[in-house]
Formats: sequence, C-alpha cells, structure tokens
Amino acid sequence: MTGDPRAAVEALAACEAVHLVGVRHHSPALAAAMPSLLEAAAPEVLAIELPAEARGWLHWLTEPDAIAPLALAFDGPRGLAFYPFADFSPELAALRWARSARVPVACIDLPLADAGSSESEAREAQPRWRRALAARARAEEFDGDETWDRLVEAPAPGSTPEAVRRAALAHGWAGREAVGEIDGHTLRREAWMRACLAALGGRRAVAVVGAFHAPVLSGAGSDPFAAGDLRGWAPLDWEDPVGDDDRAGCLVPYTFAQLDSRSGYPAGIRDPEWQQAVVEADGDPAAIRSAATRMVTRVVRELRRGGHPAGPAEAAETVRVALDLAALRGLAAPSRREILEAVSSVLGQGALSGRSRALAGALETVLVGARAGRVATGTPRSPLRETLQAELRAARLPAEGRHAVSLAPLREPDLTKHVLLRRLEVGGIAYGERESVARTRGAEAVLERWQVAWTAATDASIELSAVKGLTAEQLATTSLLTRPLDDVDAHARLLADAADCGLPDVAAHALDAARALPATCGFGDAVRLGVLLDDVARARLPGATLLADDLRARAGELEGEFTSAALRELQGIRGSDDEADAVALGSFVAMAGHLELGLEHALREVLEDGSPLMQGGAAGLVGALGARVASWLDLPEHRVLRRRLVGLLLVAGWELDSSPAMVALVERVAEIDDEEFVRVLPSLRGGFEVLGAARRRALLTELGHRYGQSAGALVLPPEETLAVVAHDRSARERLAALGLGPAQGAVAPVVGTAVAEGASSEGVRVYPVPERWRLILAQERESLSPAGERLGNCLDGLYGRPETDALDGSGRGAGDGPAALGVREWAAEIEAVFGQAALQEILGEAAAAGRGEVLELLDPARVRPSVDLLTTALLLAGSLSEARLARLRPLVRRLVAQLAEQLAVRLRPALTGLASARPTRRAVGPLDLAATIRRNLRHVVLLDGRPQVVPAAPVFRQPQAKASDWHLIVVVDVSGSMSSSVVFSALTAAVLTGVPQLDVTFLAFNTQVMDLTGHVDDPLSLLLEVSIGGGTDIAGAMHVARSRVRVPSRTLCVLVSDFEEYAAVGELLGEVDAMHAAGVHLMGCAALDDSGDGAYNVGVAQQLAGVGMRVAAVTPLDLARWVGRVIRGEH
Amino acid sequence: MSEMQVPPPEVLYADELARLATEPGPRPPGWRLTPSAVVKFVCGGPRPKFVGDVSLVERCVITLAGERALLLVGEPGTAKSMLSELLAAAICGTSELAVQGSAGTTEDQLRYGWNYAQLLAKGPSADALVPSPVMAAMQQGRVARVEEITRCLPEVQDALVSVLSERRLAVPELGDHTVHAVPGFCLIATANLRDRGVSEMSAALKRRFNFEHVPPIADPAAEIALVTERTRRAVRDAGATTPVDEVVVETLVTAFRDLRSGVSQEGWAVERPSTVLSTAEAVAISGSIALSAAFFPHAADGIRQIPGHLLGAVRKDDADDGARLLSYWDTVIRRRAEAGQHTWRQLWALRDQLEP
Repeated sequence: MTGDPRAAVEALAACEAVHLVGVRHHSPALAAAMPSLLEAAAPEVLAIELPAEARGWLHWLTEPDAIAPLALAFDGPRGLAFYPFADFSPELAALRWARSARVPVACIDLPLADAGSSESEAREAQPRWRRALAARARAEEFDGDETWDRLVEAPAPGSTPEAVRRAALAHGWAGREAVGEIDGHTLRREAWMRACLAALGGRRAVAVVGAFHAPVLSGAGSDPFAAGDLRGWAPLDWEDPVGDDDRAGCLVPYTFAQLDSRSGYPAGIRDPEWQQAVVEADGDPAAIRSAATRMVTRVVRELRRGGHPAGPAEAAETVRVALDLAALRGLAAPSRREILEAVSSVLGQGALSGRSRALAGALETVLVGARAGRVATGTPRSPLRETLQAELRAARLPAEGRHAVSLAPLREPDLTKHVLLRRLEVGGIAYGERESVARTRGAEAVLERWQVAWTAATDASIELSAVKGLTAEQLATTSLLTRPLDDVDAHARLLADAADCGLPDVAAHALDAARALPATCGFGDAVRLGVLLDDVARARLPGATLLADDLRARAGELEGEFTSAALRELQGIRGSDDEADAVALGSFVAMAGHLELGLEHALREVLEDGSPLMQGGAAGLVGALGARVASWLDLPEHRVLRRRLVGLLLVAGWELDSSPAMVALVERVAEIDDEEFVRVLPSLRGGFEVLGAARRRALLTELGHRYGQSAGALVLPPEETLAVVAHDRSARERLAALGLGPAQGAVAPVVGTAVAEGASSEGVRVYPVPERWRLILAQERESLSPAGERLGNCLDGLYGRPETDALDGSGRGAGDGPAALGVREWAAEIEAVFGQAALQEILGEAAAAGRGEVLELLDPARVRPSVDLLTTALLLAGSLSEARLARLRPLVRRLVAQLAEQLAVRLRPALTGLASARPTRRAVGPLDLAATIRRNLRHVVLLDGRPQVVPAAPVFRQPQAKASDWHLIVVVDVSGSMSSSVVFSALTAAVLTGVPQLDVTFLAFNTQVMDLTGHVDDPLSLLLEVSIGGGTDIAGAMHVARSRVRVPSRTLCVLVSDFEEYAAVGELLGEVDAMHAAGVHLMGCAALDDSGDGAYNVGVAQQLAGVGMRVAAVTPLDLARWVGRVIRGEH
Repeated sequence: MSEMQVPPPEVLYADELARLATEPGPRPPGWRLTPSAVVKFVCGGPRPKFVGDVSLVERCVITLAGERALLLVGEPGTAKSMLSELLAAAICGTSELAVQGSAGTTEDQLRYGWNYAQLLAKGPSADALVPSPVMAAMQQGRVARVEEITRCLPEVQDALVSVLSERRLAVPELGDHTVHAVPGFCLIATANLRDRGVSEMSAALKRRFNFEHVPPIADPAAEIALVTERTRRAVRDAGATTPVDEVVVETLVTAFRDLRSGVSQEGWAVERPSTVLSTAEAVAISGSIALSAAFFPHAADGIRQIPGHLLGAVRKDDADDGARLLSYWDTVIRRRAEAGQHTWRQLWALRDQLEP
C-alpha cells in the first residue's frame, strides 16, 4: 500500500468489510463527528479498540449519571493500562451512542492478560511520509500529537463528519508508512483485532480504532489466531444484566488537571478545557470562535489578577490575531495553536520576562480547567488492597501486625523488599517507616532498618491512591511523575526516589526534568545533584541496580552538565565564608577531574580573589602551591590565616601524603623562629580546630613518624625523656665546644625549669617542633613544657579545653589552671604571653565564639573600630540581658559612630551635586536657546518684512538642586551569613539618609519582613533591632518593597542578598519584573562590604539581570556612586 | 539604477514583488500584496530570504494587517532587521522609512524636527517642518521601521505612544496643525535581548506592541546552507573565483551552534561563552576565511584559521570566555578527534593557538 496515498486512503475509507473510523484517543473533532458518522453507517455491531477486560465496565462508563472525565485502569503483564475518558474521547462518544441506539459493542483489542509475544516486523521505513506530515503541519518531525492537531483537529470545524474521518484515516496511514519496524506486541494486537472482526461474521460493523491500526484492519492477514482462541470478544448486548463476575481493574473519577498531558498522568492531552469547549461547539465554527473569545478574556483577567497590566483592548487584539491567523491559514475557526500564538504574541511581551511566566500560569488555569468526573452510583471499588497484600506476601513482608525489619538492601532477596517498601513509601501508602539512614558519599548502604505495620491508616491511604494505579510499582510511578518540581530539592528527591524505587520511566523523566537545572542552580546544589547522579550512575542507591545501563549512563552524562554548572557557579562562591561551600568545593573537584583546564583556571581565580576560606580550599586543590601556602604564615592578618587553614583542611584533608600543601605548611612551621611561632599560634590552633580531636591526634602521630620517632613516641615516659634530654644536652655542649650551632629541629631542653635557660640561650628554641605541633593541635598537653602550657592555657580559654578522658590520669592532672581563669586574668595572661597586638584578635575571636563577657573588657576609647568587631558585638546583642547590654552599648555606639563617619567621608563626594538642569522661565542660569525658540514659535511678528521670532518668554536652565524627591528603598537580607553586609547596609543607609534629596526606607527580611525605617537615621538602634538568622524569602520582601513604591520613576530599590531564594524563583522574577516595568531603578547587591566580593547564586542573579535588576557584589562606595548617577540622570 | 553596495529588498526583489502584486485577493487598506502573498514573499521565492519559522512570519503579517505595531525581539544576528525590511518592502514597497535607535536618538527623529534656517527666515510653517520617517510613513500610509528601539532612552521611546494609540501627531507650534495617519500606516520595531532589553520599555509602550521572538536558526542543515550561500556571495562580490570550502563552513557552523546552545551535537555539555555567537557572525568569519584563502595562497587551508577567528569572536566582554573556548577544545573537540574524525583531529592539533 505504499503507492499513491490518495488511492490508499480512498480504499480505506470505502472499505466494505468493516466501516473504519480511525481515531486518536482524545480528539474533540472526531468525538463531535462520531454520532453523525455512526448514524450514517447504521452498524449492527460497534467494534471498539478496548481490551476484553473492559467489557464489564462499559455499562458503568456510559451510565447517564456518570460524569466524565473517568478513567479505566487495568493491571496486566505489561504494567498499568490506563484509559482516561472525557467527553472529547471518540470512544466514549461512540459507546454512548451505541448505548442509546442499543447497538451491541465488541471489545476487540487483545486482552491485557495475554502474555504471548509475536515477532516484530521489519519493514522499509518511508520517512518521507513523516516529513510530509511534519511539513504540512509545520510541526517537528516525530511530534505526532501536533501533526494530528494541525491536520485533523484544526480543519475540522465547518467540515463534514466524513471529511474529518478521512483526514484521520490519512494521518494514520501516513504515520504507519513512516514507521520502519513495528513491534511484535502491536502486530499481535492487530492480528487479534482482525480475528475478532472476522468472527463478527457477516454483521455490518463499524470499527472505532486507533488511526494507526486502521490501515491493516481492512484486509485479511496471515493471522496467528483462530476463532477458537478468541476470548471475551463477544459483543456486549446492552440488555444483558451487569454481571459481577471476576471483574478486573477499576473505574475511577478523574480530573482535567490529571488529564492534562503535562501533569505526568499517562495518556493525557494538552489543555482539556479547550478540548471540552471544542467538543461542546459540536463542529460549529461560530461557536468555537466565541469559545476562543471567552477563553482569551479569561486569560486576560487571570493575568490582571496576577498584577500585570492587561485590559479589554489587549483581549480584543488577541482574539483578532487568532481569528486572522486562522483565516490566513485557511481554517474556519482558530485552533489551540492559533490561540496560543496570538496570546504569546500580544500578551507575552517578549519571551524572557516574569510576565511570560505569569502568562503561562494564567493559560494553565484557563485552558487546563478544573472539571472533575464522578462515577455512577453503585460502581465497584478498586482491588488495590488485595493486590498490595499479595505483593507483600510475595516479598515475604508481614501484611499484619507491627514488625521491625532489618535489610541488607544491596543484595537479593532484601533488594526486592527494599524496593517494595520504598515504592509503597513513595506511593503514599502508610505501611513502612525507615529508621535513620546513615550514608556517606562513596560508602554504600549496607544495613537499614524499617518499622512496618498494616494499620487503619494503610487502608485509608489505599482508598486515596486508587486513581494512581493497581500495583505498588504503578502507585510509585504515578506519584513520582505527578510530583511538582518547583525547586532543586524536589528535583533531587525525585531523582533519588525514582532511582531507589528502580523505576526506569520516572528516572528518565527525572533526568529530563533535571536537564534545565544546570542553568539556574547554585554551587552547592550543582555539586549535590552531581554527587547524586554519580550515585545513580554507579548504582550506589540500592534500587538503582534495577535501572538499565543506558539510563545509568545518561545519569553519568548529566552529571557532567552539573559539573559544568558548578564550574560556572564557582565565581559565585568565591567570596563565601561558609564552610559548607568549602566542603562542596572539595567534592566538586573530585567529580570534575575531567575538566582539568577550565577547573584550573577557575581555581586560580578563587585563589587570587576569593575569601580566605575559599583561598585555602583552592590552594589545597591546585597543585604545586606549597610555597604560597607556607608564605601565608608570614602575613600579618590572623583571621585570614585561620580561615585559610580551615579551607585548606576541609578541602584537601590533613593527610601529609595526599596534600603537598600540608607538607609545605609543616615544613614552614618547623622553620620559623619562636617569636614568629607565638604570633601565628592562635591562628594555627584556630585553623586546626576544624579537625576533630581524633583526627588531630592522628595527625600528631603522623608528624611523629615524620620527625623520626615511632608512633606515640612524642610521648616518652619521664625517665626516657630525661635520658634523651641529658644525651641531647651533652651532644649540644660538645657541638658548642666545636663551635657548631645546634642542628635544626633538635629536641630542646624542655624539662622542668629548663625553660628560662632555653629561652635565654641564643639560638635554642623554647618551642621545638614537636611541642609546636602539640600546641597547634591541642593534644598531649601533659607533655608540654611550662611555657608551652601557659600558651596552651591561654588558647584553651578561647577554644575550650580539648576533651580529656576522665580515666586518663594526665587529663585529670591538667584540670586545674585555665578553666578557673577569670576573664580579666585571662586577658592579662594573653597580653603577657602573646602581646598587646594579639589581644584584640583573641578577644574578638572569643566573643564571636560566644564569650560575651570579654567585650565588656574592651575599652571603647582604645579600641580600633572595625566592622568585624562590630559584627561580633551585634551578634551578642541579641543574647545579652538588658543590664549587660547597657555595658556593651558605649562600645557599639562608638564603633557605629566612627564607622559611619569614616563611611560618610568616603561616600559624600559620590553624592554631591545631585542636580541636573531643568528648564525654567526664571532667569537663574544660562539661556536654553533651542527651548527658547520652540517656546516662542507662537510669537512671530513681521519685522522689516521678515518674520521674526520674538523671545517673549526666554527659557533658562536651572540647576536641579533639592528640587527632586527621590525615594530609596533598601531591602536587606538578614538570613545567616549576611552579617557584615547588614552592618554595611545599615551604615550606608544612615549616611544616605543625610542626603537631602533622599527619603530612605529600610526593610530587613529573612522569612519575615521588618520595616525599620523609623530607626534608619540612627544606625545603632537599627542594628540592635535586627536579629540575624533564618531562611530567605526574597520574593516576599520584594513584594513589600513594591507596595512602598510611590513614584516608580523616582524610586531606587537596593536589594542586598545572597540570592539563594528559598521559594520558587519565578515569583521573585515576577516581582522584580513588575517593579522594573513600573520604572523603579533596581540594584541587587550580592554583598555589601568593603572588599566587594560576596557569595551568591550566579544563576539566579543572571535571571534577575534578565528582568532588569543589575546584580553585583559592590562596596558601599559603588552603591553611593550608583545612587548618585541615577539621581543625576546619568545612568 | 546606479550600483549599490547593499541594495534594499524592494530593489533586489523588484521582479518578484511585481509578480506577487498581481495576485488576486482582498488586501488590507494601503497594502500592495495580499497577506498570504507577503508570507510567500518573505519565506519563499527563487532565492531564500528569511530562513525560519513560517508561523512566525504569518503572525507578523497578521499583526501588521491589523494595523498594530510589531516588535521583533531576539538575540543579535538573528535576522530581525532583515525580516523587518522584507516585510516593509512587501507591504508598502519601501523599506527605507527607518530610524536607527541609539542613546543619541532624540524625540525629533521619531516625531518631527525643524529646519531652523527656514524657521528663522520665514516663521513657523508646514514648510519648515522636517518630518521624521515615522511622520512620513503616517502621511503616506506606509510601514515605518525603528531599529534597536530599546537603545533609545525610555522617554524618547515614549514619543511613539501617542502615535500608536491615537494615530496622529499634533504639531502645537503650528497652531491646530495635526498629522493624521493614513490607512496602511504601521510600525515595525526591532530590539536586541542582549543590550538593554525590552524590560527598559515603559509598560504603556509595551502594551501597544505585539511581540515576536525571533529565535536562532533551529535546523543545522539550513544554517550551514545559509552560511555557505552568503560566503559564496561574499567571495563573488570580492571578485575572487575560488570555490568555497564547504568542510570549513560546516565545521565553523557546528562549533558556533555547539557554543551557542551549550550542548554539542552529540549531546555533550559545553560551557557557553557569554558572547553571542550569531549566524551573522558565522557568515562574517566564514567570509573572511574564504577571502583570505582566495587572495593569500599560504592561507589556503581554511581549517587552520578557525581557532584564531573563533577566539576573536568569543573573547569580547568576558576574559573567561577564552578559557571557555579552550575547555570546548579540551572536551568536545578532543572527543571528536579521538573518534577519528579528520577535520576535528586537525583542529585538536591547533589547540596551542588558543593558549593564552
């Protein structure tokens, strides 16, 4: 039949043996045409492409009080078979007609219970037909739904039912010709259908079948089925009583939301509400046109409700474009595509703004609809409960009572149990509960424990799940496919669940859905998903072993994309001081090994201008940087060194053999002299605190190896130590006698009172290398020299006593000194041991660590104002009682005053001359000649025979000082990690309040929004009001900010945040877009501090830039300059 | 007609336009062709003009047929301006009533200006009025074009609001003088998504436009064919006779598409540079490679020139883009080279040209 398509379709349409109606499962055109088609054909029997199992349900399906949409579900050897029916399903229309006309119905599709298989048929594919379809429909190739919509549905209004039937048959014929291989199951179904049709004998039959199958049902074939094989095909006579015998499957009410193909439920169609409108129009173009008008109007109303300007004028224009497009394309009425094109063209306003998201939401509300079906009274209930109990029994899990189950899920038979339990869990069946799961990357889950119990809750949850399927696998599949995916967490959970439940379809869906994520996700998320994908690819999740290799390979490929995304986001975390980011950096580099080049570049950038923490991390990852790491010890800033160390240790680990940077560090510690060592000791100890006590002990042991002593030998018994020291001493004396200095790293005399002696004798170290490491690592303090112990005690005051085992005598022995030190004594001690310079450092550190009392020690008059110190003080302010706060207040007041003054000095130049010329008729400035001529064109007189312009009203330029009234809205994120930005925001806002033209509103938000405008001229009280912490709801804050806008074009809005939006990003984009559309000047500050580098989500920032908010990490000076530029009108 | 470096479409396709003008059928007021003939002209004809979605062109034509203003938005180099010229030429016979938007564009260029010499000499009169292309289009019932409308300052753009809603321009300096738009007047504007973007436009103005997003060419074969055709034309116009090396064009376009979409042909991830890699730029590069091959014998092997040109195209705003190109080399090109494809092996060998 590959000859002339016209002739082939003609032959199909005219087929004598059986009258063929080729359909698509949802097709308003054919559903509308169906009664007339059947009326005209006047069949004696209606053959319909439904499996034999459906026979018992036809009555319930067509009951007059049943309201579509309804769905028939069966369980077969091939999984869930799902047949949703709506008013626009041609099959339902045909069945309803048959019932009313009392025409018997034969279900001619292969029974679902059939487990037989047939050979697939290899044929020569004729892709030209597919291309022809695609070209005529102007659709993508392989998009069968779209070609059907264009070639069958769109031209249907105004056509005869017969023309619609032929269009459908032609589409089916061409689609079939284009396919190369037809799978065995399809062939087997078609053979069965042919056999059934043949068995109908000479009765005049109409076959309502998929258009794809129609071409092969007309003739006879070499069929594997004899009439005797056929089961359940016998036509149902409507007069027969409704039998209750072994009815499989179930009939459930359905909704339009589930019917929409984007909902994830199977066998749906796009935009059911629109399809319903078309079928109700019953093929009348005028009715469809008015339905289109109705729908467009509703879309416009929805859009307006979302806060976007759109009115009747736009609605009218949209309808006009839709109707004219239909006319241009030769259609009698607009189809779905014309409406969508018109809507996006007139209402969309460009593809990328927040408005188009709002539009998509409005379209969804209107075109998907909310219609819900209802089954007829008396319809039998779902057999899901029995099925699930059978599944539990098969997996040897208890179906009653409460039990605890231990599983080793990586191997059979426990793998089956694990997967079943997970599927039930995911499918929403209250049965098993998993106890805490401890899994780390790279380590496989070996054992897990479940509490399982079949309770009343289980039965209730089964009732609610009937619509999702008939087996645990189907339940899980449907639940997962219909899960909303609004944030990265949801994606990660979906992927993990799909893989762990061993559901290939869902896993494929999850992978597809995650494809879009690399464009927007932040660094941490990209790394997390990358690691998860790696787990799936390597089947570290138990259920993932059930996934096919190619699916796992796809997960591996997608991992690569997340790696690239993480690489992009690296610049966003450059300025981060969050240890989680440093750890993520480490796992990222482990997974991104193949990107060596871009990675190296990115890491070097971090190393150049990252925060100390990230620099440390990067240094651990870039090779050959030993010298640089060692040189950090020589730099003056203590805090920087400490954070760098933390980064280095977190990322590169502490093992000497795997981290060259550590080796360099160890060497440098051995080289520096005592004074230098004491200077850096607080930072070193602080840095190494990040390792737990056990790891520090292990490191000390390893260092022991390095310095030529056996493990544990750094702790020698006293008598041996004495011997060693005596030996060393005599050796040194001999060396000295020979005129040679003591060798480097020699063990110095550290016993008893030898300290003073050692310190005084030139070149000999008070703190030899092993002692240095004991101090740095805060281990083996019982072996410290008295001088060392004094240092250690001071630092213990800061970092706390290392946990000592109470059974250990030495630990008990060391329990006297430091904890008893009062704050004042402690401070004096620090000053004595480390010097005045380190005092502030250590006290600040202690304050940050929660020792508020030390702040009271600081003398407001003497202290050097720094934002760090202020931040520390403010962090404490929340936790102090009012009495103690009162003591703190002078300090904070002074800090704030000094910092604000410093800032104001720098900002003022950027804000001066906030004035521009505006035309005026008062003679205050230079003459505006062009404006003068224009203004006076009416005053033209004839002078000396020539017309002359008389400047009766000269126009001047007036400097615009103080004439304007600008409104600055500062919106500050006070969720964790933003503390120094908050301080700078408050100070900057205070300085800007002093500018006469500016009216400042100050909003602080985490998940709530606080209006602190009343405090804005007093940064001290403002800062004391703010408590830092909590999550982030930027969209909510921007919503409040939008409500404060008075004159949009004279409003500046500054958002200070890390842009890690907790809620959906779309809403934030919508808010920002709306403000921008109104004309507000927007600036996003990724961080506001003196260094101008911050940690933020680059993906979200880029999207915000797309809707008109410039985002960058800026300094207060930059911000002031921007404010100045905008007000001066220079931007 | 005298020689022109770039003849406008109404000259270039004069014959085709004349033939289509004879097609029967109703026309919107002031139109030379029927709407379907306009679509046929833009998308079809003996020489392909606009390679892209026909539905898009249909929507544009329907928008203009309703006398509503059309705004074409898209990445740079997606033939927005060409589309607007073709539409204008087909609808009213001229594409020359155009204003080029820039930060320096003033309201005068969208409304009207004055001949100040005449104004001072003879006083205000209609003669002293200098109509803008927009005003001219209103008076003649033709299509006005505003290129890069978003580069104009928002206040200047807003001068169009009254033109588009009331369809008239008042000239208060001349008393009660008002210019009314003749039927057939409409406006096509283009805007670039990469510059200031449409979000800078006022909501009032946005409401008066129908937006069409012009995407980059979706079909690789069509893009390669287009670039090859344009390269051939460039070589011919330069008076050279050498044939165009199609392998070079194909390789170049493939690299452009990979870098533009962020996914290679094979589905591998590619780090996307921040620069826009438009078809227009591919045409320019392909043309200069072909010309240097034609005029300098030592540059006959076009493949050798690709890395340098690509680097020049990619590294514009962001210094990191060079590293991104290098990582494209290290991932995609290396894998293709390892798969043994000759051209890509050659390119892989040229990696050192990209080293900073």
